[in-house]
This record gives sequence, C-alpha cells and structure tokens, in this order.
Amino acid sequence: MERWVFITGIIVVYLAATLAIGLMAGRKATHSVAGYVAGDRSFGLLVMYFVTGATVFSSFAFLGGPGWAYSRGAAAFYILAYGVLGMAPFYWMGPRIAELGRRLGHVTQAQLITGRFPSKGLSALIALMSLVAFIPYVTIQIRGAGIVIEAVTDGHIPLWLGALVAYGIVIVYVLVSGVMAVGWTNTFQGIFMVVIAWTLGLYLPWKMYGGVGPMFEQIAAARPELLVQPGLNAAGGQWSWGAYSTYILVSAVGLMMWPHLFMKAYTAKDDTTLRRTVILFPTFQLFLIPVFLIGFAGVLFPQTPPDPDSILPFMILSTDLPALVVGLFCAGALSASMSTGDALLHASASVVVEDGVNQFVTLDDRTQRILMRVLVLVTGATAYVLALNPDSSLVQLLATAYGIVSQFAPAVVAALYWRRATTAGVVAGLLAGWAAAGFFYLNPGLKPFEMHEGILGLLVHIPVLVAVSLVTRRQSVEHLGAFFPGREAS
Amino acid sequence: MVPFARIRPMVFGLPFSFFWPAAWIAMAVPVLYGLDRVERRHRDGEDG
Repeated sequence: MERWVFITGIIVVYLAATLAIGLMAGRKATHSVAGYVAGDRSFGLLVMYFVTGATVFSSFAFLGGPGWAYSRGAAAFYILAYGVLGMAPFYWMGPRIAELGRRLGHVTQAQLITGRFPSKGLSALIALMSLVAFIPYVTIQIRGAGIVIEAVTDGHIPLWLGALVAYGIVIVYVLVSGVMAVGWTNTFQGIFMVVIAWTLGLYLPWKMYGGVGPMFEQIAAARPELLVQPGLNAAGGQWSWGAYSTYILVSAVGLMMWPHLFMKAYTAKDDTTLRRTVILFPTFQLFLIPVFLIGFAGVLFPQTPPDPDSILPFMILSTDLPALVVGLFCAGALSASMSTGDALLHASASVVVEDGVNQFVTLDDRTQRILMRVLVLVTGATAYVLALNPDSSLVQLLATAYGIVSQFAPAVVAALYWRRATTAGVVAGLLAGWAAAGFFYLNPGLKPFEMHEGILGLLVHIPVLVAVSLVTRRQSVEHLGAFFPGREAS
Repeated sequence: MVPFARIRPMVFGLPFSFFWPAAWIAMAVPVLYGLDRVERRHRDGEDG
C-alpha cells in the first residue's frame, strides 16, 4: 500500500470517530434554543476543561505558533504570555455572567450587554461585528485543515478537497447536535492534540539535534537574535517592544471576549465548575511549549518550507517518520482546527439569530433553530471560499480580528461592575473604539510605538464610554436591581 | 534592559527567554488554586 493511502486511511478513521461522537452527543440535549446554544447549562469540569482549551488553541496555535517560532523566533512567546492573563479575570466574571444568564435567560454575550444597556441597534451592532471577527477566524481553521491534509498526502488530496471534507463533517455535527457536539468532540480532540504535540515536540529535537538543550545551543550559536524578545518582525528586522507588549495586552483583553468562548460561561453546570476550569486552564496552555519546539527545530534545517505556517507538516514529512506517526500528527492538527472551527460556526449562527434577527422579528423556538442551522451553512461556505485564497499569515489574521473583539471588554466590564454606565456611553465607546482601531489598522505608519490597533482603540474607547455615561441620564434603580440584586443601585 | 530577554542561563535546555513565560504558566496553577482557597473561605464567611 502506498504511504499516502495509509495516511489517508488514518485521517478517515479519525474523521469518522469525530463525526460519531458529535452525532451521539446531540442525543443528550433538549430540542430547545437553550439546548442547542447553551447545552441546557449542563457541562461538567472534564468537558469544560477540554472545550475551553481546545477552543482557545486552534490552527493558529498548532500551525501559526510554530510558524512564528521558526520565522520570528522569540516574537512567538507573546502567544505563551497572554493565555493565563486573559483567562484569570474569568474566575470572577464567569460565575457572575453565568448567574445572570440563569436568572435572566441569557445565552449570548450581547444579551448580557443589551440586557443591561437596552438597545436593539446595539444588539445588532454587536452581532454584526462578532460576525466580522468570526469569519477570518473560521477561515484560519479551514485553511489549516486543508494545508495539513494536502501536505501529508503529498498533494494527492488538494487543499480545497481536504478542507471541504473536514469542514463538511464539522458542519454536519454542529447542525445536528449544536453545542453538545462541540463539547464532546472538543474533549476527544483536546486529548488528541495535547498528546500529539508533546510526543512530536520532544521527539523531533531529540532526533535532529540529540535533545532540546543541544538544539537551542546550536541555534544560540548560529541565530542568537531568534532567542531574545521581542524577536523579529515579518520582514526579518527587529520587532519593537511596543508591538510585542501590546500584542500580549490586546490578546489578553480580547481572549474571553470572543463570543464563542464567552458563551461557554452559560454552558457550565455551576460556578465551581467555571472557577476550576480557569484554575486548570494553564495546564492545557503548556502544550504550546512542544509546539514551539517543533518550530525551533526547523530553524537550522537545511531545507525551507513553502511558507512559515507550513513548517510543522514540512518537518514531519522531511524527517522520515513512520506513516502511522504522520497520520496521527495529521489527526492532531485536524483536532486543533476542527475543535475551534465548530465552536466558531456554532457561535456565529447563535449570535446572528439571537442578537441580530431576534431583535427585529419574533420567531418561535423551532424557527430559530432552523435559521441557526442555515447560518452555520452560510458562514461555513463563506469562510471556505476565503480559505482557498488567503493572502496573510495565520497569526496575523487572528491578531487583526482581536482588534475587533477586544472592544467588547469595556462594555462587559461596565455591564457587570459599573452602575453609572449608560446605554449612550456604551454605544459611543464601542463606535469610537472600532473607529480608532480601524483607522490605525488602515494607517499603520501612524501607530505610536507600533502599538496594536486594538489597544489604541481601547485608549479612545474607555474615556468616551466614561465621559458619555457621566453626562447622560443614569439608569433607573428598578432596572439596575436586576443586575445588582441586594445592593444600593447608585 | 529587560531582565528576562536573554538566552542564558538555559534552564531545562530552554533559553531563559523561553523558560521565563513557561515558568509563569506552570506557576499560575498553584497561585490560582491558593487564590481560590482564600476566596472560598471569604465566600463561606459571608454565607455563614
């Protein structure tokens, strides 16, 4: 049997197992919107741990991370730095969000924000901007799946076909089973990707250099600039500390503001589960260490991959590993891609229906579920088309989307903790923040200290939110009572 | 200028610049666990 046929067989087995788990998971949920979107608020610690880890770490981490380590060296460590920083505030915010969700019936982020700051326009605006941020994120996942399958089958299965099959399966189980499928497939995929990453991350440096230490000694002698922060920029010159530190900051602020992650607060069965998920999250994040080791292993490799994002499959295929190992690697990479892609597709449909359409048209439960399924298909198809013709790196695409979602953070914090905030203040802040971020994205030469446009957006957003809130009429005591029960609403 | 932005000393085979953020991630679990215990005691006190 030809090597690529054997590898394809392993991929088929993996995809069949994922599909079966996804379809079976749906049998546990009720046939309601709360069942489809929030899994009837029933996820325990095991599922929450893997769903959070596997959703956060995607093709961006599995392929883009090694790509940055290989081409930009220590610049990649910004990805290591922001995960815990971004997750820790959820220890306090998560249970508060979940409690409000249970009491007021929220299943999306926008419902929390517009519950506190009532405005149909605001709700639709959040849904629209979420969708704008989601599409490049889904595109990354689909492209990642296609890159890996094409590489490990020596081009016999082209990118368009591999991506189509992998995401066809994702769409089927998300359509049928909703967030239950996301939860249980993520558990399976999370275990897979962690085991594969650690195995390959330790094996490759050992096989090529005799160990991790000898590998870094050789890199330190030949390319020391790669091992010191802030690392290199895309052109190979020195990256700036302003860019490095604001990439960490915007990612930390934006991490849990991604609607598909934020919404997981509504799926946990209780507050203790949410808090323990936050405490255990760093143990999942450690899987970035072997992923970066694979990228660094490529630095002194005599051959060059077609592009930095392909360094991981390139190394796997260039080191004469057994076909079984290559197939398992492919399944691990597909796990990283699909475990995030499914959550994104599910969340994008839920957000558009719940926060966009539902604000202007009254739909019954069944119609909402049908519409969500149609939108899963539409979003998946749009991202698939974009994935076939990319013009940017995986990390860069995601870093840009963070500029959009990080602007949700002041609105969420104001909704939960600042009683004097008003609807006008939140709307003005969001518009000002997105306008400023968009301006600096389009005019990168004007960024002070090469700061990330998302941070520059927040520097405009927060003062506008505060100033407009203070000059507009405060919310009524009765309205605030629902959000701050048992506390004086002043 | 930045104390962790250097190659040596290498720790567990990793350059110090890599070891430093990795160590913070590993330390985050016991730190968050300790914080959780304090918080729980505080919440129990409020409930009691």
